[in-house]
Amino acid sequence: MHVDGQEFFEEIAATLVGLHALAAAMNAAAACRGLRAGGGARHRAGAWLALAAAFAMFAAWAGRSEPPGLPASIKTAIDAALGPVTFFFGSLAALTVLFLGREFFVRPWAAWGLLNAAMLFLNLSLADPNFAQIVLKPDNVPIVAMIFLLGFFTWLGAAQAVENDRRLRQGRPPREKDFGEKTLVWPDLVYIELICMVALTALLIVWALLLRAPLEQPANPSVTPNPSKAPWYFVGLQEMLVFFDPAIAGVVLPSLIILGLALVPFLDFKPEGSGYYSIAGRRFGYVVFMFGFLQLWILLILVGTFLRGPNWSFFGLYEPRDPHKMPLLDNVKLAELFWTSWLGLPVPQPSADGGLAQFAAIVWREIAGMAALVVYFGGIPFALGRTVMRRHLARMGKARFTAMILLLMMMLALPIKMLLRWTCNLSYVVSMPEYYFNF
Amino acid sequence: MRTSTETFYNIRRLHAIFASASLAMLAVTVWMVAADHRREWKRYQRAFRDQIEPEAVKAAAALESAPPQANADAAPNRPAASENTASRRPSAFAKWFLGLPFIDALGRPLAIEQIWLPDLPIDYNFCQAPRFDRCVTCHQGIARAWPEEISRALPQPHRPHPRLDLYCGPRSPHPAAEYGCTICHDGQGSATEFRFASHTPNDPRQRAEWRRSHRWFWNHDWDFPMRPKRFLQSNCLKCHHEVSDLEPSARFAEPPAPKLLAGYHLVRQLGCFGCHELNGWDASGRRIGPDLRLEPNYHEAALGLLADPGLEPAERRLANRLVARPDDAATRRQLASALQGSPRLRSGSRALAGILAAEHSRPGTMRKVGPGLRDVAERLDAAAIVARIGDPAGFRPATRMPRLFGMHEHLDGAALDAVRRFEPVEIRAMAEYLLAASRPVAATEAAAAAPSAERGKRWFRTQGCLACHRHRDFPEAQAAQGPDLSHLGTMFRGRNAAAWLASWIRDPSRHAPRTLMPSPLLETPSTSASRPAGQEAGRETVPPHAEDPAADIAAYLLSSKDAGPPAMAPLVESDLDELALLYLAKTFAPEEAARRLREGIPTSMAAEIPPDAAELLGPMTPEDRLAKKLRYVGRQSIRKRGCFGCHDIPGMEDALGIGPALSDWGRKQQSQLAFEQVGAFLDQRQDVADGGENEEGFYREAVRGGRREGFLWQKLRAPRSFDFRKAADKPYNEHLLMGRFSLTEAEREAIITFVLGLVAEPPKPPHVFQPDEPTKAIVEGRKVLDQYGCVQCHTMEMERWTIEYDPARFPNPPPMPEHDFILPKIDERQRAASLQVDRRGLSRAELVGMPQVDAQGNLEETEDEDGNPQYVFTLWEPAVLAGKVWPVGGAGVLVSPKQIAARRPPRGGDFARLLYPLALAEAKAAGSTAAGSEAWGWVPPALVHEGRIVQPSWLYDYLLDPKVIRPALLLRMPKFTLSPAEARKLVDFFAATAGVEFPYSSVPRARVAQGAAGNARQAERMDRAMRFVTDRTTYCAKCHLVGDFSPGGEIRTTLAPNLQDVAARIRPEYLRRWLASPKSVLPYTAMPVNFPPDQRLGQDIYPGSSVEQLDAVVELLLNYEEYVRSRVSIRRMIEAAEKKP
Repeated sequence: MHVDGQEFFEEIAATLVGLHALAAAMNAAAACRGLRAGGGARHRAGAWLALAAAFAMFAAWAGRSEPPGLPASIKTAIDAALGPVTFFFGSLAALTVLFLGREFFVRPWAAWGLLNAAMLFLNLSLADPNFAQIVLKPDNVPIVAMIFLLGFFTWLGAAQAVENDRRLRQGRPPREKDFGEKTLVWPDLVYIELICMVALTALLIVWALLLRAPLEQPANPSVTPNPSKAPWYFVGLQEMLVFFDPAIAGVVLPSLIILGLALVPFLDFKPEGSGYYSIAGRRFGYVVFMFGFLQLWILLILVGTFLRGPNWSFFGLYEPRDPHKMPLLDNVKLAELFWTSWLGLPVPQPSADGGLAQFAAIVWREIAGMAALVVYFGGIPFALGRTVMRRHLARMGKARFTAMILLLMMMLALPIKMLLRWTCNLSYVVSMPEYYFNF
Repeated sequence: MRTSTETFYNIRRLHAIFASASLAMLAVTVWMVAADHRREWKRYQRAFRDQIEPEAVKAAAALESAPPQANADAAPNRPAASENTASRRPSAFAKWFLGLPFIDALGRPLAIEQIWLPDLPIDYNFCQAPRFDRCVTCHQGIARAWPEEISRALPQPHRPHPRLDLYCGPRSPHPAAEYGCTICHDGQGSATEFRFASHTPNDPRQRAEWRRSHRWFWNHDWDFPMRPKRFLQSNCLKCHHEVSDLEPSARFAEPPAPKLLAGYHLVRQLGCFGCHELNGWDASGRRIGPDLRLEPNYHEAALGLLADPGLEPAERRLANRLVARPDDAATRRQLASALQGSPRLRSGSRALAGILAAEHSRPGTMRKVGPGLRDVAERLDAAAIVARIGDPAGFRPATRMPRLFGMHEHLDGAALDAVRRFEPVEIRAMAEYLLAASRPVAATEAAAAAPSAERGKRWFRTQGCLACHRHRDFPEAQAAQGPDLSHLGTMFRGRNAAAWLASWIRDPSRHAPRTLMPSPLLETPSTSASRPAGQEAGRETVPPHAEDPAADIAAYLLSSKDAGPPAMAPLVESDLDELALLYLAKTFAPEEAARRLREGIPTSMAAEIPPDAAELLGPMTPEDRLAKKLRYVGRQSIRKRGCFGCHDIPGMEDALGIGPALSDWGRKQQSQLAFEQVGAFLDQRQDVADGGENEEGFYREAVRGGRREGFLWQKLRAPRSFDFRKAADKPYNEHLLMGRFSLTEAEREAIITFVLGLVAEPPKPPHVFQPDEPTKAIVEGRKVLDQYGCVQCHTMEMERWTIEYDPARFPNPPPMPEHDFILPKIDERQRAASLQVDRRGLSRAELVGMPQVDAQGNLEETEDEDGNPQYVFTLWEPAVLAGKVWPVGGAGVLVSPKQIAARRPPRGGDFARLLYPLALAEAKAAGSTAAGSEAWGWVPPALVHEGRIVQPSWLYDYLLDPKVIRPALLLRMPKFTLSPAEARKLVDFFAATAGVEFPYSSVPRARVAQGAAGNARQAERMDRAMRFVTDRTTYCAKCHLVGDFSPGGEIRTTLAPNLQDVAARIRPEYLRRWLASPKSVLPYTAMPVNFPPDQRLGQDIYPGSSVEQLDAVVELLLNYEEYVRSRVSIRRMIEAAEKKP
């Protein structure tokens, strides 16, 4: 889609001025606060003030001519980095860094710095028509807001957990204990609920006034929108369809997610760290949950919303959404890889008689995949229970441990399948379309 | 219950937060109400209600002295609402109160108005969404019939529709309540905001303006954006499938869809349907659009079969008959069944027999637009063909032949090199094939006379050639029906071009059975009863064949020789081989292909190979190797490039058009348009731009936006540019093939308008245009008229002048004695209407007829007593002026130039007007003293009343086989290759346009009373009437031929039609009128009034009143044959014969 540069700048100017001005105002407020607080905050206030000035300058700039944007080289680099593999590992590395450096990142000024970086990135990127087209789509604006909200709450939880960990290390009770466990329904709870109600209603009205719902046409049965995207909260599930058979991705995995979440209280019965935020006390649970939630759920939503374009192809944030960009579809099944590439033999062709011989032939064809599955779901858990997770097994007992480890392996199957697809073009480990089973 | 004053949160702080949240809530609520109050449509409705409408009504009242009765047409878009609001008009207070913010959200008086059209759904292929048009919500004044000067000054969206006679008004053919808006305009009818209605700007200027004023954007959520103004007419095609029903008519004199019609005619003329199927029917037999398909290849197949020596004489006879009459199904089936399984036929002929056996339930009707090439070697040589194919416009700048070669601006590198090498080879090979396949047709018999180019030039001018063709010697003739013949001599260098051309002129259909060129029926002076130069008609004193007009014209046309075609470039045989191998690779493996090219294809393989490879059959000898390869490549190239879409080419009888079908192109998914790298091409080649910057900008943006109009524009402008950067990856034979036509920007846009309108989604039957019988006949007839160019010679509609005059000062018509039944009848209403004046004190009237012209054919200007210029307008239809009737045949109306408000030119007859001065000059030179206007009787006649004059059965015969009627005419009616069905359509057309009883089935005759001879009184009456006919001094025989009698005389222009044919030719009711007052029928006629109402003449011949005399002559002429029969006694002849020896 071709976009006229001048027209685009005219359209985006108001939004950009607003966003830059908002960032400037926030930093100015932070600076004021810092100056009043004194101490270390006083020194940092200078930095906030400088940032406020920079954002104010950007705001003025965006209102007058071509808005400030990222240089083309950086955009190209980001687009290149947004390939599936780099994106996955990059985000994993970033989360790891955040986790390991949590003591640093939970400091308010560090978080404030991260927020500033995010806003700067957003505001500068919005000067790119392709970026703006995805991000400012009325459907997608709430998702962008959600990123910030999610970041805030993750930070809040982590900050409290870190503080609690510190308190516990010092032998003090967690902060939840200190602040008391009880709150009055009246006036505290009812009042803040009322305030929330009023404020949210106002927010919804503003939202409705500013982001107009598009007036679309009746559905045309002969024209499928390209791309066809699920509602935002299901885009993650839709992303799984790329890697799994629809029956697995659409039915089995979602069911297991619900089942797994329902089973959490029974699997995680440790009393320590219960009732308050803490990481040190339940490191394994925290890491597994955050990995599943952030990496396998939220990030997939972001991928589906921002990086998937026409034909469900991967697009960089600054890349034009060209419907003619066709990914090379040369996916192979493990059976083909195993028989043809590794053994140099033809893939066994089962007869179509439907008898026992056919079944045997199909199993023979898929023997490598089946072996891999047996090793993955049987061998690895067994080995883990014997070695690394010996303590878990001992504490949880066999039944609990088996349930947990199977759920865990199932969860890990998703990133593994993704990596196999991206690196080896492997579509299915076991493929038995004769029995409607693919994995 | 325990109460506590201790709280977890700081209550004062919560109060503050609550207060600010509440204030924010209040603010956004006010914002919400304000936003609703200021909604775009509400602002428009308020402006219209409070300001626009009252002012316009006031201005209209001031403008028109008469009460604005036309306002009855107003506001049909809300039938229920307007009645309600009219009956209980709200008070001023109520109006103010209801208009307050928030209150106005509750409904009236401001409200969204919509037209619900369940019968005109939006077609989403498998689902039909009902149409809701809310356009009238903002366009409140769309159907107000205010005077035009007021309407036009109103700003949008308040402006009334510019064509209320056609649209919106309840009395128009498309009332808004029944048709809505988006069925014609497209766009999102359910939107109530400018931006979402998918308005489409007409050019970049408007686009910029809309972006500024309306924050306009391309709404991608609507598949059917509004048509920009320039393509509005496209949508007429949805319902008006015949297109020719959109020609201006008596009811809608202002052309309803001129651009669409222009596009339609261009598509017909350029023969787009030769490559692209334009099927008017879908698979289920439903009518979906204009039907422009080539006729089945029956005649070509028959021609191809005739070349087969295996054909038996009986089959040959059938084939010959089929060539002349391909629509003769009985002959065709007979031939097809005779040929079925016939072993004697060549393998190629069997495919031809298959073509003949194919039945079409609705065969196409279009003929190929190019000349047939079956005997091309007779007229063209290789160099000429090569030059013509290589650069058609080089020989004839206005040619309709597309350019197929030499368009390289999009190429570079290896692709450019390949094209440069192969194209000359292809052209040369095509010429070679055409020449080799050409077979001479036996020429028509030539007269033994030396042709004279000088005489030829005169024939060329007078014998109707200029009606269709152009020639640089006659710049005044601008007909475009046939090709420009200026440079024929340059091109026609074939072995016996002169003889061929003369034979072609004599009888074109002998050489190309489906040519549209008629046989001109040229008469040598010896055989003619109509030539000047003082020969006595019908005498045998003139030596036969002194002149041969056809040979003269041929000599004249061939005498204009410019520099001939350039010498052919030498042939590079390696390129030829390479190209041949490319073609052969489709059939053979590479090694085998090379061997076949070297050694030829064994004849035993004849049945397995594709037809074109037949050129390589048989062993190759060094002598014929090159020729064979050339023929093979030529034939393959002709097949690849689709030359047979326009030309009849031997060996290509079974080929089908090479382009994609266009029947539903207007709905082609935009994502399926292969724009390829055209955007980049346009960016890179700013220099290939033409047209105004604004126009250019519109289309360039359309290309960038991937829209259909941009695709078409570029396809028509630089068709091959879609190969830009793609050609490098394509083999030579897969390059794009569409040729480039010589089109102007306006023509291109007309074609785009037509093609965009090709959408196969007709609305339900009541909405599709369904003409009544006469209209249908007119529509069908027009197609035939267009096809054969009848209107080039004949005027079909007279000139119309709208005049504005002061009734008080307008002269009365001079008194004229006239029979009662001749005088036009008018009623009081018409008389009153003609006296009504507008605020300037002027009346309006429309004059139909022709202004008088001088000897040069220019408008004749006279002066009134004050020396002001005046024109004399001869009426062809009676007019009511200032309360008085001006009959036809009376005095001309004097019109001063100031009085003329509008002039609508006549339809057709250009050639007649061109010939008029010449006819007059020739007659004067021959010594005629006839009045100037009589010369109209010597050129092709106007046919405005033809249906009223002649009998259908006669006309039918005449069209198929024209005979001489008016010896005075300078030229004869040529003989067209009309099919009987087409002749019938023309007959119906004339009947329908003349408004006579339709269809005209029987002709009532005033029969002579039984036994004319027996009834003595009746017999005597007839005898006396016959004396009028035979009177040579005053009455009929002075001018008319009667039976075998010719009045002769020095000047042929006095000769009048033979009276013995009148009974068969003329309608009875018309004959009486004609005899009573010839000028009231044909104002220019030289026929005198023989039976004046106020005198008793000819009493010695037939005593009685003039009406009695008139009736007797009418009766006699209508029963002429019977009368003659009663006068001829065979018995007496036999008795006389017996007496003799």
